[in-house]
Amino acid sequence: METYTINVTVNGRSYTRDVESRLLLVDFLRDELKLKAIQSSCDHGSCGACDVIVDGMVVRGCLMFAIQADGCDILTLEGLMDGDNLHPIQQAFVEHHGIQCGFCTSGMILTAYDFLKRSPKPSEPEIREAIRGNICRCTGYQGIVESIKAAAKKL
Amino acid sequence: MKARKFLYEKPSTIQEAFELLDKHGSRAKVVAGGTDLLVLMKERQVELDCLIDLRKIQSLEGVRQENGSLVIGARCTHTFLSEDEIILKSLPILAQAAGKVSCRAIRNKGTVGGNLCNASPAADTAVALLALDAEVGLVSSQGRRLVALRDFLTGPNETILKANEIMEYLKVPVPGPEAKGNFQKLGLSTSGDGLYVVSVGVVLNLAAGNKMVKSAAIALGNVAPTAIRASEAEAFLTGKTISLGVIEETGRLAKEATRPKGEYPYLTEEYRRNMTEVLVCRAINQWVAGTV
Amino acid sequence: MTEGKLKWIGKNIKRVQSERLVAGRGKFVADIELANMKHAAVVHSTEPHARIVSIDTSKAKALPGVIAVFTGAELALHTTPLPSTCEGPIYWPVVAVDKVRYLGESVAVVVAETREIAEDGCELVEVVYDPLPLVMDVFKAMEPDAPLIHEIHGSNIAFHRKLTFGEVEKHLAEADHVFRDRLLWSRTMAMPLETNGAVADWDSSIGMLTIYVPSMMLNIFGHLLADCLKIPANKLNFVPLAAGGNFGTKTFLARQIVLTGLCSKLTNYPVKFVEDRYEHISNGDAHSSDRVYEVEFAVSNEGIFESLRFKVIDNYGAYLLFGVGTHANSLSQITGPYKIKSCEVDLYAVMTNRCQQSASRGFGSDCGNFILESMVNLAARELKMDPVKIRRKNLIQPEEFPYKIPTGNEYDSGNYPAVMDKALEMFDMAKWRRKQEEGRKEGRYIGIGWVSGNARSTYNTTEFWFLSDDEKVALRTTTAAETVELSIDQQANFTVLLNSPSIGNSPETVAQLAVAEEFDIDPERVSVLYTTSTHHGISVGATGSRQTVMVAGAVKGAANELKRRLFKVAAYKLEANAEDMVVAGGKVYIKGSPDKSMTIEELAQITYLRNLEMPRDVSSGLHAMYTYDQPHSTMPSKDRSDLGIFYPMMGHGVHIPVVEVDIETGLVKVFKYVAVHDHGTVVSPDMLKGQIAGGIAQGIGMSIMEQVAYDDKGQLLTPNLIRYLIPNSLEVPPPEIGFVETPSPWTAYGVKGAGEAPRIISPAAMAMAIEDALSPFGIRVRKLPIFPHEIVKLVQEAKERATETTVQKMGGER
Repeated sequence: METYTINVTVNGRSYTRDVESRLLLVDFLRDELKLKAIQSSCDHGSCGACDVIVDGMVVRGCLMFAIQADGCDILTLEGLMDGDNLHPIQQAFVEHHGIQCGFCTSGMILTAYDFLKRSPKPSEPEIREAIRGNICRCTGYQGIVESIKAAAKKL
Repeated sequence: MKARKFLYEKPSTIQEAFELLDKHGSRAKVVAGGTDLLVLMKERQVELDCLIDLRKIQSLEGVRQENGSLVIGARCTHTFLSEDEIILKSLPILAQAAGKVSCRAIRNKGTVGGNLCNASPAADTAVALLALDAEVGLVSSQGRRLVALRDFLTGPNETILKANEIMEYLKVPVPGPEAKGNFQKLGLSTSGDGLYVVSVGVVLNLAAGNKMVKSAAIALGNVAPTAIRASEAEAFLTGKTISLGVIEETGRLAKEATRPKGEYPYLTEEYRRNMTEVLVCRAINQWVAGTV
Repeated sequence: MTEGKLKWIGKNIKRVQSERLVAGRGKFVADIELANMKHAAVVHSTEPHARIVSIDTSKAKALPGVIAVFTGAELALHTTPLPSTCEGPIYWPVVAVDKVRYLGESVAVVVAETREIAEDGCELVEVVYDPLPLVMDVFKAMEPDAPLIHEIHGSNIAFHRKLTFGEVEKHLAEADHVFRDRLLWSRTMAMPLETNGAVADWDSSIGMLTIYVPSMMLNIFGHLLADCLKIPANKLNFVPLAAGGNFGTKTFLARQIVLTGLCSKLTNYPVKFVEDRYEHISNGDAHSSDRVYEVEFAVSNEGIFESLRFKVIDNYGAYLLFGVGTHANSLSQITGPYKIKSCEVDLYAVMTNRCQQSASRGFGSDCGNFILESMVNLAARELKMDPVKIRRKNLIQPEEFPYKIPTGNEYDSGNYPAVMDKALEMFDMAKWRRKQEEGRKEGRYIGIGWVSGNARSTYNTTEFWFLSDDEKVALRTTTAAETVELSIDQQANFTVLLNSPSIGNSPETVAQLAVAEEFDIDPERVSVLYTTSTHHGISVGATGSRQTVMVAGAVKGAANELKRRLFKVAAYKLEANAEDMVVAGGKVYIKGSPDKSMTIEELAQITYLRNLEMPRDVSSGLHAMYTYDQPHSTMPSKDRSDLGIFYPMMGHGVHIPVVEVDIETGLVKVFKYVAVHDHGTVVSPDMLKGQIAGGIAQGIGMSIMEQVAYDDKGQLLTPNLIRYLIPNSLEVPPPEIGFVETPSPWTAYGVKGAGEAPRIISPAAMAMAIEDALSPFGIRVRKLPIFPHEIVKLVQEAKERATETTVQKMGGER
C-alpha cells in the first residue's frame, strides 16, 4: 500500500503519520488520531457534521484528503477544551440546550467558534446565517442560536 | 463512500505541474479547493491515476489591476472573492455571487478556477463572470492562451481546457462607474441553498440622468448545458428606456434563451424556465429601485 | 397544575448527556473500535428489478486486504429471512437472493481490513442481471397483470382490508353535506445525521455474539434476530448505543444487525458496518409513508362532524418490516380531538420497486392528522365558517374523558378548549388577520395555519398485528413493557440502569427527576447508565412516544421497592412501624416526627455492611429491578369492529404557523410559529420545548421541501443531501411554545409522551397555512410536500379560471 508521510499540528500537538493519499481528513482525525468528536454524515459536504478548522478556516473534513492538510494547523472540538474544562461555547451549548443527539455538535460549535472570532457581537439573523451550512435534525436550531448568543456575551 | 487509490503530487511551481500533467496525460487531474472533485472521487465517478494539488503554487493567487481589468488568480477562494476590498469595489456582482456559494466552510475551500473548470451549469461565479465578459487565462507547457469565458464553457462539466492545461487566472474588465450589476439566485428553499433552480447575473450601463440602457449583459445559470448569456434579451434592452413593459419583455426574451434539462417531482423544466423570467425581472427591478 | 404536589418533576435541570456530547464523547456506533476489527461494505444493485443471473466474487476475494465476500445465496445458508410483522408470504432476505427488488438493494457484502478496501472489493464483484419489468406506479402495481415484486405472494397487494367502526353508511347517507377529496402524502425520510450501523463481535470460544448498535426493541424482539443468526437468544448480547438521531429510523435495525452479525460469525473477526449516506437513502429500510387517500367527510349544516370514511393506498416499496403498523397506528386517533361518531378505512398496502418503509417519527398518525384537518378546512370553507370556531364546536370536552373513539381506542385525558384558549392568548389572531389583509393589498400572500391535532403516546404492541385476522398473525404480541434497575450504594448515591439507549431524547433526565421525586434528593446524585440485553430487562425503548412515560413508571416502581426495604430497616432501628415511615430531604423518618429520622446513607450502610442489624425478612443491599407494563390497554375484538385500547395517553396541540407565499416563485417562508401542547405533567420544560422545536422543523421540511423521489425507471432522484433537502437555520423560525398540563390518570406523575407530537401535528398545520395564504385563489393543498413549481402552477391555473369566469360573466351581462 502506497503511503505518504504527513506532518500536522492538531490541537497544538504535532503528529507525523504515514497515510494513504485517499484517506479523508475526517477519517484521519477519527481513525488515526482517535479524535472522535468530528463525525461523517452526508459525504457530500452538505451537512457540516465534519466541519473542522484548518489553518484558521472552517472547512469540510469530508471534502479534503488528509494529505492535503500536510503542514497545516488543525483545531478540533477536543482542542477547544482546556483539559477537562469546557470552552465557553461548549458550556453555553450545555446550558442553553444547543444539543440533543450531539451528532452535529462538533461541526456546529467549531463553526460558531470561527464565526464569533469574526463577529463578536452578532445579531440573531447573523447567527442563523453563520450556521446555515450546518444541519441539525433535532433541535429546530433555536437552542443552538440561543447557545451562540449566550456564548458571544461570555467571550 | 471512499475514493479509489491515486498518486498524490504537490508541485511547488507551475513548471513542475506541467511536467506532471505531460507525464500522466488525461489520467491526471489538478485540484485546488476540491469541493467538487472530491465528491466525484468519493463516488468513484472519475478515473484518475494522479492528483496534482496546486496549493503550493503562489502564482495562482491574488488580485491585481491591469489596464482597466482585474486579473484574479484561479486559486482565489469564494471567501476571498466575496470579501476582498478590490473586488467588492470594482466587481461587486462577482463578490455577491461568490458570497452566495453554499456556506462558509465550502467557500473557504472552493476556488473560482475550480468552479469554472468543473463547469457545472449551476456554477455561481460563472454567471457573474459571464455577465462581466470575463476571459480566462490557460497555461500549459506549450504556452499560454486567453479565452473568453463564454467560449471556454462547452457543456455540463465540459470545457475547452486540454488535459495538459491549467487555468491560471481570470481577466475581468471593470465596468464603468455608471454600470452596476445584480446577482440573483433561486433555490428550492427560501435560503436559496437547496436544489438550485436558476441564477441570474445582470450588468447594466445606463446613460447618466435618464433610464436609457447603454449596454446590458444578462447571464443565466442552471437553465442550459452551460451558464449562458441571454443575447436577445440584451439586444432588446440596449437602447431602451426602462419601463415595466421593457422589463417584462426582457424577462420573456431571457426565458426564451433557456434550455433546461431534467424533470423531477420537485423541479420541472417549465418551472426553471418561468423562474428565469421572474428572476431577470426582479434583478432589473431591484437595480432600478436602487436596492441592489 | 400539578405544582405543589410534585417537587422535582417539572424542573429544568442540567442534562447530563449534553456534557458528554459537547465534549465529543458520544460513543456512537461509528466511534466503536475493537481489536482486529474489520470493515464491511455492501454491493448495491444497479438494477431496480432483475433476476440475479450470476455473481463472480473471485476478483474481489483476490484483492489484498479483503477478508471475505458473501453473496445473498451464501449467506442464506447461515440465516433465515428477516423478521417482519406482515401477513406474508413476503420474505425479506438480509442480502438479495435470486432477484433484486429495488435500486440499491444489497447483492453481496465485502469484509476487508478497511472500509476503503471493502469498497474497492465491492467494485470488483461482477454481477450479471436479467432485468425484469418494473412497477413503480402504485396503481399499475395493483393491476392483475402487473409485474410481481414477490411472486410467491401472487399479487402486489400485500394487504387489503376494510374496517368499519360504527354506522358509517347511515351517517354518510343522512348527513347534510359529504365533502370529498383526494389527498396525497409523499415519501420522505426521518434522515437523522447518523446513518444506521452496527459493530458485531463473535466469540467462537463461547459461542457468544456481541452487537453494539443504536437500535430499539432488542430486549423484546432480540430472540427473533437470534433465530436469524442461528444462535440461542442468551448468546446474543446487544450493547445499546446512543443514536445520532433516530426519529424512528433505528426502531428495529434487523437487517443491519443480522448482516454485521453474520459477517463477524463467518469471518471470526469483529466487524463494523456503517451506512454511508447513499446506502442510507437507497437501502436503509427507512422511508416513510407514501399514500393516496380518497376521503369522505360527513358534516351537518351547523358544522358538526358526523363521520369519516376513506380509502388509502400505501406505496410500501419492496418489503414490509413493520407490516401495516403505520395504518393501525393512525387508527388510534383517526378522529382527532373531535367527537366524530363513526369511521371507515379501506386499506391497500401495495408493493413496488422501491426501498421499503420503516418507522418514522409519527408512524402514520402524521398522515391521519393531515387528511382530517384538511377535510375540516374544506368543510369550514364550504360552510363559510371560521376555521377555529368550527374546530371548537366539535372538540371533546374535558369532562368527557376518558373518551372512547369509534375504533375502540380510549383517550385518557385532555382539555382541548384550554389549549385553544392558550393558543389564542399567545397568538393575536385579529392582528394577524389585519396584517394578512394589508399584505394582500400589496400583493403579499400571508397565510395563517391552525390545526388542533392529537398526538398519541405510549402504545401497546397489538397495533403491529391487529389489522390482520388472528389466524394470519405469527407474532401476536400484547406486551410493551420497560424495565429499569435502581440501586442505592453505601454512600447513598443512586444509579439507574436503563435497557434501551438514548436517541437524542432525555431518558437520563427523566430517570434522574423521577428518582429525585421519589426520595426527595438532588437529581445530580443520580447516575444513569445503560445495560446490555443479557441483563434481560424487557424493554421496547424510545418508540411511539413512550419512553418518558415508561421510564418514569419503571423508576417509580423500583423506587417503591427500595423504599419498602429502607422503611423496614428504618422502622426496625427506630422501633416504629414501617407503614408510618416517609422519606424527604434524604432522610427517612416517622411521619409527623421528622426528628426521629435516619439518613438514607445510614440506612444504606446498614443494608450493605451490617446484615445482623437488619430485620430478618430484609436481605442485604439496595437494588431493585422493576418492569413496568404499558398501564392501560385491552385486546381487540375478534371481528375487529373494536381494536381495543392500544394508544391511550393522548397528547394534544394547537399549531399556528404563519407563512408568506411568493406566488411568483412558489417559495414558502415560515416566519412565525406558535405551538401550544398538552402532554400531561411536564417532566422538564426546556427539554420538552427542544423536542417540540425540532419536530416543528421536521414538519416544515416534510411540508415544503423533503421527498425521496424515484423516476419511472426506478432510478433514485434523491441519492444525497444535495438533492434531498433538509431545513436549515434560515428556514425554521424561532418557535413560540406554550404548555397546558392535563395529567394522565393512568401514568406515573400524570405524564404523557411527546416525542412525535410536533411532527405529527406540524405538516397538517403547514398545509393549512399555505392554503390560507392562497385562499384568494381558492387553492386547496392536496398534497404534501408541496413544491414551489406546484404552487406556481396552482396559482396560474386559478388565475386562468378566474379570467374565464370573468369573461363568462361579462358574456352573460351582455
